[in-house]
This record gives sequence, C-alpha cells and structure tokens, in this order.
Amino acid sequence: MAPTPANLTMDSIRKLLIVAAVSTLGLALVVVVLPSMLSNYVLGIGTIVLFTIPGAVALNIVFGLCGQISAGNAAFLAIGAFIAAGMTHTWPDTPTILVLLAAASIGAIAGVLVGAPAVRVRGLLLLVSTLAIHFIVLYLTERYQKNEVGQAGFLLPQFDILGWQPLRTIEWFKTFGVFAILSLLVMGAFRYSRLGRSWLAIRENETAAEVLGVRLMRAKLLAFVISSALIAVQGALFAYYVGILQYETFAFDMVIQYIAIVIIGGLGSIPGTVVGATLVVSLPYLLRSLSENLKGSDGIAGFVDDNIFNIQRFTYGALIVVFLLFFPDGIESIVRRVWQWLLGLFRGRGDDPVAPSEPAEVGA
Amino acid sequence: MLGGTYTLLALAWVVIYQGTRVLNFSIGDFMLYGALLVSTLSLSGLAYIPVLIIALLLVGVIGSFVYLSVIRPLTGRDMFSTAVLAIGVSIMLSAVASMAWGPELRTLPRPLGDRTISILGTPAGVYSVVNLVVALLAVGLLTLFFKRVRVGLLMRAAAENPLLASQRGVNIFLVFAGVWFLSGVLASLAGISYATTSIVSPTLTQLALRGLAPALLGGFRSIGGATIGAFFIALVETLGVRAFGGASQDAVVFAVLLLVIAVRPSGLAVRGDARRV
Repeated sequence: MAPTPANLTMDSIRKLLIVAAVSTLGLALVVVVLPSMLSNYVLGIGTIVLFTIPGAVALNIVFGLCGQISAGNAAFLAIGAFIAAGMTHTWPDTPTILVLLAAASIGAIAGVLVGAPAVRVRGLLLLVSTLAIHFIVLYLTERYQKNEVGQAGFLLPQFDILGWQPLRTIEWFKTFGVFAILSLLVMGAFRYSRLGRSWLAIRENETAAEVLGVRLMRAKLLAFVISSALIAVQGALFAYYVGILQYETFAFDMVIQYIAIVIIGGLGSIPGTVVGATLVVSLPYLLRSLSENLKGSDGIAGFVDDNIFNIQRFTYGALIVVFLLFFPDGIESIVRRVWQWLLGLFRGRGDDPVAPSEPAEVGA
Repeated sequence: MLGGTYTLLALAWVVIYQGTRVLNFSIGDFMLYGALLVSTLSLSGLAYIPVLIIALLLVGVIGSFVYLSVIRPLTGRDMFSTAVLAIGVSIMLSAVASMAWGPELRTLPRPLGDRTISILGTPAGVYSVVNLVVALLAVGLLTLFFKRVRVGLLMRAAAENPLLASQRGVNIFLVFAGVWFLSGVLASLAGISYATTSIVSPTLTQLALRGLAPALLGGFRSIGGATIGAFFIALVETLGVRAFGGASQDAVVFAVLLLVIAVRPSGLAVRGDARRV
C-alpha cells in the first residue's frame, strides 16, 4: 500500500493538478457560466443546492469517511445561525468575516463538548447524543429568540466581505457556490490525507484500525469537530442569506434531508455529495411542478396538492430505504455499473471483466 | 403517569435492540399508529376491548412487516446502516399516517370516564393509575415471558447467538419478526395509554425519542434497568417542567441523556461492556 516517496510526489503533483483544474472549472461554472445561463427560478433552486452542499460535505466526513452517524446537522446549523444573529444583534457593527470565524470556532468547541463523550465508545452513541443536542439547541434558540426579539425573529445586517455585498439571488448563488467549492476541497484534502486514511480504516474495521496505530478517539473526534465547524459557518451564512432568522427553521426533517443526501450520494463520495444534494433539494420543486401538470385530473391532483409536504417526506424516506437496500454505495456505484455495462456492450459479451475498481463494501 | 409511558417505551427500545441489534427509530410511529387505530376503530361501533386488541395486534403486524421487508435483508450489515434504515422507515410511516389521518388532533375514548381514585389519601386520575398498572403488568409479563415461555427463551437464544440458534433448528428470522411484533405492541400500548389522557398528535414521536433516555439509563439491556430509568426520567422531566415551563421537556430529558453518555455510557444499572449502543 505505502507508495515510495518518489511516486508519492509524482502522484500528488498529478492529483494536485487535477484538483486545481476541477475546482477552477467548478468555480468558473458557478460564478460565470451558470448565472448567465439559468432562469431566475432555477437559479433560486441552485442557490439552495449550493447552500446545502457544505452541510452534506460535513456529514459525509463524519458518516461517509469515518463511519459514525450524526444527527447534528440542524443543531449545528442553528448554532452557527444564532451566533451570527446574536453577535450582530448585540454589536451591530461586527464585520461579517469576524462573525464567520466566531461561528467556526464556537461550532468546533460545541463539537468537542458533544462529540468527546460519545466517541469514547463504539457504536451509535454519537447518533444518540447528536439527537439529544438537536432538541436542546432547538429549545435554547427558542428561548433566546423569544427573550431578545420575540416571535418575529432576528434581523440580520447586510453580508459584507471585502466589499462583496450579495443582495440578489444571483449574487447569493455565487457566494454559496464559492463556499460549496471550498468545502468540497476541504473534504478532498482530508480524504487523501493521513487523517482521511485513518477515518476510512475506522469505517471499515475499528479494531483493525486501532491495531494499525490509528488513535481512534482523536481521529473520530477530529472528524466530528471539523464537520461541526463547517456546519456552523454554513449556518452563519444562512442567517445572512435569509435576513430574518427564526428558530422554527431548524426542524428534525432537515437532519433527514442531509442523511438522505449522503446515502444517495454514496458514503465518502465527493461527486456523489453534489449529485445527492441536487436531487434532494430539487425534489420538492419537481413534485410541485408535477402536481401542477396533474391539474387536469382532479382526484389525484387534489390529493397531491394537499399532501405535497407528506409526499416529499415519504419520498426522502423511501430514497433512504431503497438506496440502503439496493445501492449501498450510492449513486456513484450506479453510474459505475451502467458505465461497465455500456463498456461490456461495446466490447461484446464474454470478455467483460469484473470492475477492478469496485468500491469497498460499506461496513463489511 | 409519565413513568408508565416511559417504561413501556423504554421496553420497546430495549426489546428490539437486545433482540435484533437495531436502534429502531420507528418506535414513535408504532406509538402513533396504535393511538390512531384506536381512534378510528372505536368510531366503527366495536366495543373498547376488541378495538384495543385489534389495534395492538395490527401495530405488531406492522412491526413484523417492517422487519421482514426491509430490516432482514440488511442482516449482517453494521448497525449504522440499520439505524439509518429505521430512520427512513420512520419518515415513510409518519408521512403515510398524516396522509391517511390528516393533520387534525384526536382524542381517544375513555371508557372509564374521568373519575379520580384516592390512593393513600392522594387523589389520582383513573387513567394515570391504569397507565401505571398496565406498565408494571407489562414488566412482569415480559420478565416471565423471557424466563419461562418457550418463545421468549427462543428470542433470547436467537439474540445471544443467531448462528447457533439456527443450527439447532430455530427459524431465527421468524423469531426476530416476533421480537418486532412484541416491540410494536409495547410501543402502541405506550402510545394508546399516553394519548388517552392527552391527545393524539404527531408529536408522540418526540416522546418516543425521549424514551431513549430511560433505555440508555438502564443500560439498554435489562427490563428492570429500563423500568427504574423510566421512573427516574419521568421524575426529572416533571421537575424540569415545573422549573422551566412546559416547552422545556425535550431539553431537560435530552440533557440528562447527554449527561449519562458523558458520565457513564454503559448506563447506571449494569457494570462493564460499554459497547451496547
């Protein structure tokens, strides 16, 4: 496994070039190409997709790479958002960059507090304690909002980093686009680092990882803390984006969405995260346009119209179940399978080799 | 009163986890279905007791169905997958429930009326007493069931060592389906007994999540531990609500849960083996 130093550097230079090329391409796509191509409606959906990606990346680091499930997405998002709201409410002139830094550091500290007890032991305690923190944070943010500003919610000032002041959807699209790409780069950087390899080792077999010298608690805690800090920054950005912040936004259904994204995208898959986020976020819009097309046939359309929210929830649940049962490696494995099948057709049957690069069985 | 509901809930979590190693997040939906079925069936003119029995059995069947259809194919995969799968199932069940029954709040019939009885001089609502009695009865019956009844023994054997049990001719999948049936019955009993004194609403599922606290406090393995945990959590919740107001019940219970995880993840009742959950 261990590459010699020589080919390691060759390899890493090649990888670095690929990463640089892909991220420049992505950056050009979200900042220049897509905004000029897409209609306002699609751009609006795209903004939410791009906003969602960092949170999905964060969960994918903990769950996909390190194999520990967390239900903390909504809670840490709320922590970040309410730090932004609280800071700008108390000191109206706080520069945005300072708010984001504060969100990251407080998110990380909260991550240590929640994660440290839970990752000491194996199993599902992280899931249970993040579930607990979800409801605690929900209660605290509710109390804080009601005490400070009442039911209406916090008003946020204009987002401003070095004079960049996004106001319209198109500008927020670019802002979230840059942040999404940064977060994907973070995930990529960790995935191929020493720490990332420790995470994969823990995911595949904790005992074996420990025997190989991985410091379990430290590696797991780092994964969780990096992820909470990332989500908290995402939350602060969210607060600026919505402009009026209310605690009701951070419901448990949000957690389900992020879990669905990671399951659909595939554990640890970077392109899968993007595809999964796109699918899960645009699903409600697809359903809505579907129900508008059904308008002619009154019986079903009425039902769909009345239950659009429940149908959406049902579909998220069904997607999680179907992917776990039939495509545990996510959408990437489907693409790979179809690709292999097409190659097989092209070459003719018979000499169709089993894909050598099949991803490792999850949790085997 | 709350203690009884928590006991049943904690038992539902523990039975399914001990039996099949699944942290079953659809327990809240089993609760909800139990209560909703009673409210619908009692409109059909049937007497209360048959309604109750049919509802409990139906939810049990739903439990077995969930196990056989989606959980069983994942046998052998890690418990992260099955927990997430159960979350997916839970979302599907609750979406179906609100599509079928609609958003309105319902009340359940109270065949015993609103009488109060006095126990040792303190007046108590008759349903609080019924709730408690049902829960303690369930504890007793379950203990007997797992110690004396053949099916209960089979469940323990299959949970202890599935391979060995299947070698001895036990149909372990059938036994595990039975475990899910049992847990479904316990959860719906919790849902019905709780909703009889308050209302049927989708927030029952949050109560089920709080039921994790007594289960964990009791070490997630023993019936006795879960029972003690349930009464402790009920007490803490009551005190918390008195101190911080009704909206704080989730926060208080989950804070205790976090504290347990931080201090003693293996639970207070048993020693050793922290790998349980």
